[in-house]
Amino acid sequence: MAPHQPVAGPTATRRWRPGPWQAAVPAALAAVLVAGGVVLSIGGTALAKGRVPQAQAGGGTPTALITVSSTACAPGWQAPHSGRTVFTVNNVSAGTIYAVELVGANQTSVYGEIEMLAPGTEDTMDVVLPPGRYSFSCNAFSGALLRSQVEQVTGPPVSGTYSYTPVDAHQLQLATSTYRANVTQWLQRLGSATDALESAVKSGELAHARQLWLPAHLDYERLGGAYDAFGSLAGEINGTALSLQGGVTSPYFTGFFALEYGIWGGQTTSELSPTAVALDQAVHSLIAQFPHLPMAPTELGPSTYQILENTLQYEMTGEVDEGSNTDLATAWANVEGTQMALSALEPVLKQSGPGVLARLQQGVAAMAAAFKAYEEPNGTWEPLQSLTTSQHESLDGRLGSLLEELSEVPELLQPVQPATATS
Amino acid sequence: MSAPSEETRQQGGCPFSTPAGRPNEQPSPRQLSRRRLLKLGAVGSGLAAATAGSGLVQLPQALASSVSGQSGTDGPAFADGASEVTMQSAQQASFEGEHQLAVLSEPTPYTAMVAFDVIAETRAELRDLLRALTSRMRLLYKGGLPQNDGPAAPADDNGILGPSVPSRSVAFIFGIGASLFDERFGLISSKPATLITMESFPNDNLDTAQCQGDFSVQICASDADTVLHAVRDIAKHTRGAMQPRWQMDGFKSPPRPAGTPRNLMGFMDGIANPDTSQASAMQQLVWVPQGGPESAWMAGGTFQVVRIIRMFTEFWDRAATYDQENIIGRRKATGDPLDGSNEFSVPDYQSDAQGLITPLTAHIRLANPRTTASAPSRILRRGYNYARGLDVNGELDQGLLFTCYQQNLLNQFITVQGRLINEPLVDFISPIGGGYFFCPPGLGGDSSAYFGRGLL
Repeated sequence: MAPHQPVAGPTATRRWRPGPWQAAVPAALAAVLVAGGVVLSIGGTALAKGRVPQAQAGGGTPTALITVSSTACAPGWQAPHSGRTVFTVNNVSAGTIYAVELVGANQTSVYGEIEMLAPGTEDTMDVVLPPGRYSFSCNAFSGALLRSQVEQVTGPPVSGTYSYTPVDAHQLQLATSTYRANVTQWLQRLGSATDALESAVKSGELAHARQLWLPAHLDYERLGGAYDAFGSLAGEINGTALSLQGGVTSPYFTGFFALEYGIWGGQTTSELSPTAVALDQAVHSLIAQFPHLPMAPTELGPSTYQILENTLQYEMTGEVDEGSNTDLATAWANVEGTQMALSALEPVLKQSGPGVLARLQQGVAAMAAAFKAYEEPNGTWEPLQSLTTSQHESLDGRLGSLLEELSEVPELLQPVQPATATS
Repeated sequence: MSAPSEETRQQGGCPFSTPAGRPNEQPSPRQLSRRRLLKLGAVGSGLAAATAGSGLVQLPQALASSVSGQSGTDGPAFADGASEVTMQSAQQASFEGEHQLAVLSEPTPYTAMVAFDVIAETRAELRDLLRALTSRMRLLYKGGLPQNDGPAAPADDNGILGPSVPSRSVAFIFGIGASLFDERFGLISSKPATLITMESFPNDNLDTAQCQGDFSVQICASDADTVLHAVRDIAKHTRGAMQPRWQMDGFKSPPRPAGTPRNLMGFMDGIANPDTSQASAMQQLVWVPQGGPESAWMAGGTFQVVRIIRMFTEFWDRAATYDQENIIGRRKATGDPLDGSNEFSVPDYQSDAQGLITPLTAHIRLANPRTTASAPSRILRRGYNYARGLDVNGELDQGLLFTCYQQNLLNQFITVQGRLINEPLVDFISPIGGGYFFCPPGLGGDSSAYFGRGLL
């Protein structure tokens, strides 16, 4: 996983999911009482303009209109029959932003959700409901929680699971602490590795530097879950030439890839020395700063698949390699880094239904083994370009398939929205 | 891809004007020198008709209406997806007037953006090339029977549109890149004051082979074969004077199910464009004014930005819809802004200063913050989708052929792009090519005029 190195500013953030509960909440907004009403229609005629039209929803999928006002959450809603229903939820309040959920009788299983519904807007909620008791909950961003009456869904049983249970935000914090402790240990090891690399370059031992580069780089490449927290140091340490004006000739081209370019590109150790020194300094800055660099609890979940998205984009295309031909080694380290994030999340993911965690862990372990098979006994790795077509296809396909599975993790890790008041 | 809906056909289209019956059958004058093998044959009598000086009208009614966005009411811009175009009463290509009006027209179903480098060596040869290029565009627009070069010569026309080239079925946008203004043609001192070479923005991944160019030629049509016919024709008839540098083909999706067409991320793209029917808005945002930083000959032209933006579609498809909507700032299904009740609702960011509804980092909010200060940085956005097979590891190579038009690169596109640096969307896209070009003004009703004449 090799982030682009912007000319200015930190590497691109991946924290695009600021839940409403993470943002500051404005003072109570003007509330206007609007009588809520419910229209239930079978066949979609009452469905508002263009949202999941009948044809796309699958012919015959029932639709229903739900309203949310500043004082009422889905008043008068009527339970549909079991199976699939598309609700259109309309926020008729004058100024209340809601998160709307359809929850099961236990008040924790979420069957459908609209994470943000602004006043004066509507959105669809596409659900599959087994027979049972359900209610809507409307979380105002200002903190108030409204609940609808409970209704009974009847009809034939439904196979499959169409709900998830939000996790306790505190558990995500604990997982993040576990992960951070692990990163801290690896950073120590990384620091020793770049110390040795720097000293080999400074003492003119090019062959030795060539041997030391890969282990040091792999120590870093397994820390992808924390790259966002590393901020601009991530770019200094592991930025690629891809987005730089002038590419490998840019003065902003620093770190592992710049050193790789020099070591395998015929530079002398004295030419390499400033790059090696700067890399080691950046790593030690990171070691010093990391305890103070924040990581949001919601960051770790998405990293379980985003690390390998970058591997697929940059390592499996050979795009970022600067001469060492170690894409497959990097890919392996990235899988190890994914395993590291997943392990930290283990206590949380254990609650996500039987077999989910085991399935993900098996997939990740198998992927690691698939890459590791290309390591030679002497510690060198087979170059990406020497793979046969079928070997390349197998790795690409397995990685893609693993990503499809891992991409479910962020959804499984959605935290419970804290409710500060109920009515 | 299915045929465009009736609605698309009526709104859409480069501003093809309409045929005035069959072109006259006259031999074409060989007005151009044959230096550097410029093959300037005539298609039918198109050139003759265009140069006869008789039939040139100022701004054809059908053309004016298709440009002003009223074409839905008085006549479709071009025929129903078939090659034979039947439009009424206009007689000249979209660039014969004051502006290159294809800039303002709605995107056509198909396009190709081709960058060329000039390999002609003298100023005189460059002039010949510009004449040849302009003539070829006129001929392709006019259509008709290809020139007969005699029984011993290969056919003048590639024939992929049949024995007679359909009239008025193709439109062009021509641009000049900063690289033309070097010592080769003595043009260093003529370089437009605000035309620069596109540099790499943070998060770009530019491939030199797909960037820049002395010229950009965009070809727009309702069918893919019409576009490719023109690409081949132009390349053939300018061979030896300019060489294709890169090409990106694009297509415009039909509305799904209605409204602004979607890009390959599934989001409606280009909703918030300035109104091209408002001449004053176009004067303020698109056309280079008289008396500004640029030379008088450039007035009425516009600056073109081309960005080839790869989308990591597999990755995108693995992101939750809610996340996608927060990244873009619109509902995926409907195109509504997150605080709005329809696609064209104007977002009220002032009432959402903390970004609780529309994240402060949402693409549409950064690109167009809707403030008084940001209003002059608006651009006329013209996006096309592209799909060109696979990457080396079997990932789909798809994305957006982004183009936009403005009267000042720095104050508009570059300012907007500066606001987008490190937006959350960057993880899912990778700008890989493109360039900046100056699209000269139209030919002003002068049938002997050619693009760039103000320069030479």
